Amino acid sequence: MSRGPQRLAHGGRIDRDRPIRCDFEGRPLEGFAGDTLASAMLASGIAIVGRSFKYHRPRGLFAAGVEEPNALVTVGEGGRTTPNLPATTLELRAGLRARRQNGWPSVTIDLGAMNGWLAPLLSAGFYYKTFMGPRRGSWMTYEPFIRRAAGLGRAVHERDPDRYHARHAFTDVLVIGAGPAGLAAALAAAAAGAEVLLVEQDPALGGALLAAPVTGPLEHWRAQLEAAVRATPTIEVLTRTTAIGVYDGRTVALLERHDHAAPDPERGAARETVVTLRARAIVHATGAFERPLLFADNDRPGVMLASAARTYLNRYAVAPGRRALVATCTDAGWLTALDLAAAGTAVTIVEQRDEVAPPLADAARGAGIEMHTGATVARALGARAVAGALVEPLAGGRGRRIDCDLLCVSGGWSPALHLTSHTGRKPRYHPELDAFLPGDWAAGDFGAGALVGAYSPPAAYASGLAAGRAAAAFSGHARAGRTPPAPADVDEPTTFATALAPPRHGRGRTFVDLQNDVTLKDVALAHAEGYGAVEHLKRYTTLGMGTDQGKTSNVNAIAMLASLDRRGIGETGTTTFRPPYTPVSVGALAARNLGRHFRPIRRSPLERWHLANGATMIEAGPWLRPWFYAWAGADVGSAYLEEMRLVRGGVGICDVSSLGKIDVQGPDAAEFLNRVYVNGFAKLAVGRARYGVMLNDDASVLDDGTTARFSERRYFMTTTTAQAGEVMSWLEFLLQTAWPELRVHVVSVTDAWAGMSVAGPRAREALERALPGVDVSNEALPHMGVREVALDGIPLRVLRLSFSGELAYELYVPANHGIALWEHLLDRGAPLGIKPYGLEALASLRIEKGHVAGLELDHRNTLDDLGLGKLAAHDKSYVGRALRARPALQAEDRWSLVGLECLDAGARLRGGSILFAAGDAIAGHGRGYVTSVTFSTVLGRTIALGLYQGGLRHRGEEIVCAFPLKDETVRARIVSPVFVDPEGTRLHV
Amino acid sequence: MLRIPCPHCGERDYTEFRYGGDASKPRPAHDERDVRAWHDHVFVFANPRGPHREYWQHVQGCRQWLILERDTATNTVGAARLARDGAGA
Amino acid sequence: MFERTTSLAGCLDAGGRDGAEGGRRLRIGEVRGTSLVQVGTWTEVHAACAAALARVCGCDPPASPRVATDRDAHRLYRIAPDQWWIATHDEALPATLEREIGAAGGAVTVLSDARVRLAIDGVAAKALLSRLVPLDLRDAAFPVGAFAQTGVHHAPALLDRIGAARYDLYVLTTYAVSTWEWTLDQALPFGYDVVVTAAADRSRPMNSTTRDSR
Repeated sequence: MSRGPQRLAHGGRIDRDRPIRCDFEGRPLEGFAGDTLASAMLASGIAIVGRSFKYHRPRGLFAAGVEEPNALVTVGEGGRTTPNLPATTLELRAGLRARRQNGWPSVTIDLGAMNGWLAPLLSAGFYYKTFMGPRRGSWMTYEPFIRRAAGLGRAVHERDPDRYHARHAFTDVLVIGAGPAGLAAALAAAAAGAEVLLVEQDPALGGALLAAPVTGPLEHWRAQLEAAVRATPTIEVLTRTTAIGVYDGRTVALLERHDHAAPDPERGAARETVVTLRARAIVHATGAFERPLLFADNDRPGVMLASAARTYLNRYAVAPGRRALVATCTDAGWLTALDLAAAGTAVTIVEQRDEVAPPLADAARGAGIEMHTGATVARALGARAVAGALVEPLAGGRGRRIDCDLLCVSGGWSPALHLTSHTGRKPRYHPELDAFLPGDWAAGDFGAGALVGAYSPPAAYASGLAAGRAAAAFSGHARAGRTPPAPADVDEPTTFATALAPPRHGRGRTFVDLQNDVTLKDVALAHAEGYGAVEHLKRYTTLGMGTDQGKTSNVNAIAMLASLDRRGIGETGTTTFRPPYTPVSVGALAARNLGRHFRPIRRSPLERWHLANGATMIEAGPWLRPWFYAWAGADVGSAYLEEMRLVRGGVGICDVSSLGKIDVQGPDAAEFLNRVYVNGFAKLAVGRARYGVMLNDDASVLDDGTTARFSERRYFMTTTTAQAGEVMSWLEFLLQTAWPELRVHVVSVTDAWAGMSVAGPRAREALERALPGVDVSNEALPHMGVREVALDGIPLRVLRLSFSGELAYELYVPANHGIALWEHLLDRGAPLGIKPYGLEALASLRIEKGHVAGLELDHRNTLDDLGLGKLAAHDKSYVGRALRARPALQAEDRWSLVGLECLDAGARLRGGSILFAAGDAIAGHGRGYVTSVTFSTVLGRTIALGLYQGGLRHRGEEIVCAFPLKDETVRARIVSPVFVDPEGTRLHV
Repeated sequence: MLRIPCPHCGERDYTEFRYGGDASKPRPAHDERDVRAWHDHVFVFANPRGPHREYWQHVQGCRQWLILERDTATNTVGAARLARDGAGA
Repeated sequence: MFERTTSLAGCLDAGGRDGAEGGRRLRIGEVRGTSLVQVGTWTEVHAACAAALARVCGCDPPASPRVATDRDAHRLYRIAPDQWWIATHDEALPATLEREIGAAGGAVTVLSDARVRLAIDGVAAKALLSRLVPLDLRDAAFPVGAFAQTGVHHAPALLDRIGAARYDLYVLTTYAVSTWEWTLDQALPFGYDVVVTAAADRSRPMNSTTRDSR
């Protein structure tokens, strides 16, 4: 008698008028529209679909859906290569290129099978037990080989050329699953007036109904339901869309797949879209997975779930074998047997129950099916393919061999409750169903169908209607509407044995988790070694950790564990389910946040000018800022020195638009600033600015900046670039939660103004040339004076502030006029030699002056640490004042700000270097570190700012700066942090 | 993801907000000098497993600070009110 | 003498592109010439400021935080319990507001250069926006006349539905180029034309006042 699967001439949901040819391991594979890769492989007689993970045993198709553990294939080429996709979920299409995995030289003839002989060394947790000697550290000799052998498919390093999209969506009622319960729920919710989104991972609607014969009453009913759904305008249907995770706030992540449409990324089409959906109510109608029975060598090719065999037969018109043995304890197994017999397969049933309902027995008898009750399979026979089974009576006695080329197993149903427990609701075991069902339901979550134990089509339909109505009511819609009537004549028998007979032990391996090659012996071993809690069992044996996440193995393992413990299954419990429900590509999660769009970029209004005039830009937080300009040098190392010299000796102009700027207005603005800054601001006069420091409540320094007063009620605050957002939120927090009685408004105007600093001994001349109508003499605009003028009707703010220590002015103009003013200043100042300078020079100039900046303001340092203690007022309260008085913050050995002069000429002193006293061993945390470094053009040597234990009390001492990562040490002397013009005479000219 | 009912703008994703910590302890008066009072306010928190009242700012919205009731064990979100309408306990 | 430019100068020259299925279902671009003012009040001056606003703009400032009111060139938004935005193509308005609101005791901040105003129109406008903002854009939740402050690609923005398939999107000037490039990438599947519009042409027709309703 011939053996093996065959394509039937009639039946199925395939379209025989649309043949499809794809590429399978370099050869054509043929099938039809409506096939999956798996059904086409099965029809073509490809019996071995892969090699198992550890032991490289040959494996065949086991299931027909996402729960498939064996048939993992690699699809695509080049950057599109994707490993580990279940062939059962891949729609057959013309451009498909696929190959099997984990066999060398091939899956059919695989040298890896030798691993089978090494099995004793590869049991659960082997990497903690075997491969540990002969010496300590020997593991690292074995590890590269084991690592290379691990895994199933191989990923590639080439860039993926496809697009992946992300979008947001909102709906009243989300229905997950379009089986009978889901279709019913969608119709009921829509009838009640709700907007419905129905998602289904399959290309077709119907769920378990798609496994019924196409000529039967169930299919007729299914088609009616589908027509009703599609005719309802308030039901949006998304097929090929998997709900991969449920999150707080009834937010659900949906993965839409578009591969079937052959998307072209060059035209903007995406392979996959992740939808972040927020639903007012959710109906879970996700169905249930069939469990296998366990017996020795239950992993042979040709052993498959009974429901899968029925799906291949009825949906894809492929009879999976010529001579079938159906081992079952459920009525579902009998449905498979009857359908196989009707298609001409010779069928034997081995039923664990002593009796089944007469209609089933009669039908089986009438179909010529050989029946054995009260019996079970003890072992599958055959090596590269199943050839028969050893069948034993449950009551005891001798077993007998029954020949077969297809062994269908049906051991019960496990509701697919993963999504219901993503937000932490633990499943509950129901002994009367021998299944875990969702535990208690969160408000707004509803369940229907096989998921809640309503297995038969009429029961599923009724529960779906109820859930849909309830979900709609929860979302605020309770209209009385009409739904299609319950089906007649479409019942299916659904009883099953609730006490599974334990698996027979004997020769051969009994696999629990096929994908990760975990056997019952591994479970017992783990338990014996103390890993008996279900979460430990999972990690120690890797059971349930494969791409199928144990969908067909978890409950069997829990039952085994419970029997070892002599506890109830419910007490043993399940592991925690986490998203994603099925694997999702990283590309889909990244969507378009790649490359240039990885994160947003903040740009100065002057950027166009910089790019056109030789600036090299650098990232500073979210900003792009000019780092240095080409006029000054070809690389940053030489350029910044030229720019520094320009500012110290002539006049330069720098773009400071990124500084945080806050408009502070109101009758109580002065009082507000006085509370927030450590120094006094209540008496700041109109037309003046003041440097200020603000603390956090814990007395660490939050930020420094300058605030100018332009009118009695109007102030202009600047902050550091990095802290602008922090300070803004902090001010708003104080005004709204602590001092709501203060009448102050704060508005961020960082974007409103372009800012530029004109700095150097010739800065005043530059301004006089550019702003002839404005009096910028020392008398009219002294140091820290501010003025607001109109230039051609455009507001211009001039603040005489200096970061560099030279005579300097900050000019602010509305952003859209920034380039015009900048060019004007350069044009009029050209005879003075004015040129632009960038961030590197800006930062270096302030180091020479000992001005603290971001590198020193790290939220750990106090005012005194930074040498700013004298700034704090004594006669008023300010934020942070109380906790500043903590003894630890006054300790003498705190690390505080010092200047460092490098003593080793030509040596490289790096920021972050650790500081040690001259006699210290270079080890541990040292006594401080270097915060900022630059070459000083004024002093002609490398200088730095840093924090040192005891600070300036060690002035004059020689210390060591160590950079262990590069094995460097540099000698330096502790000096005042104000290297240049300590009297500040240059500021007041 | 957490959905926060901003009293001004309506229900929004929590990603539009910035978390601001425990809102159940009244802030000491601005001129309070007692170190212990400020220490307890800044460093000591009940960290309850269960109902929690906390600050959130709608930074990508109306920029209002709100006080939100949230269950820290289940992430169930309750009512929110504007902090300015009556801060503290 | 001092030329006024826009952050998006140079970004709008490349023209449009057909979408994945051919054709162009979007018209997107910049609206230029909008003046923008933020007004802030306190309890004791709130009523006086609201009256001043009504006088200057010719329509009541909205009480609703979700729906804008408008009159002729001006459009008013209640962006916070004690703050309004006024967008207008009347360049004289900011100075008038500073005077009148100041006299009424409120705070005025000119934000004209702090925002870039983008236009998003076309049959695919809602679909594009579902890729830009995490908002419920269905008609019941976001009807014509509604507005919302939200974020686009990590930066704050204000979305204003001025027509059935017409939206304005105000984004921060310093993020404008980044947001525009992101928008173009998201718009690619739909196909788009790039347009630059004057604010005066963008306004709703004269004498059509939106009734304030929650």
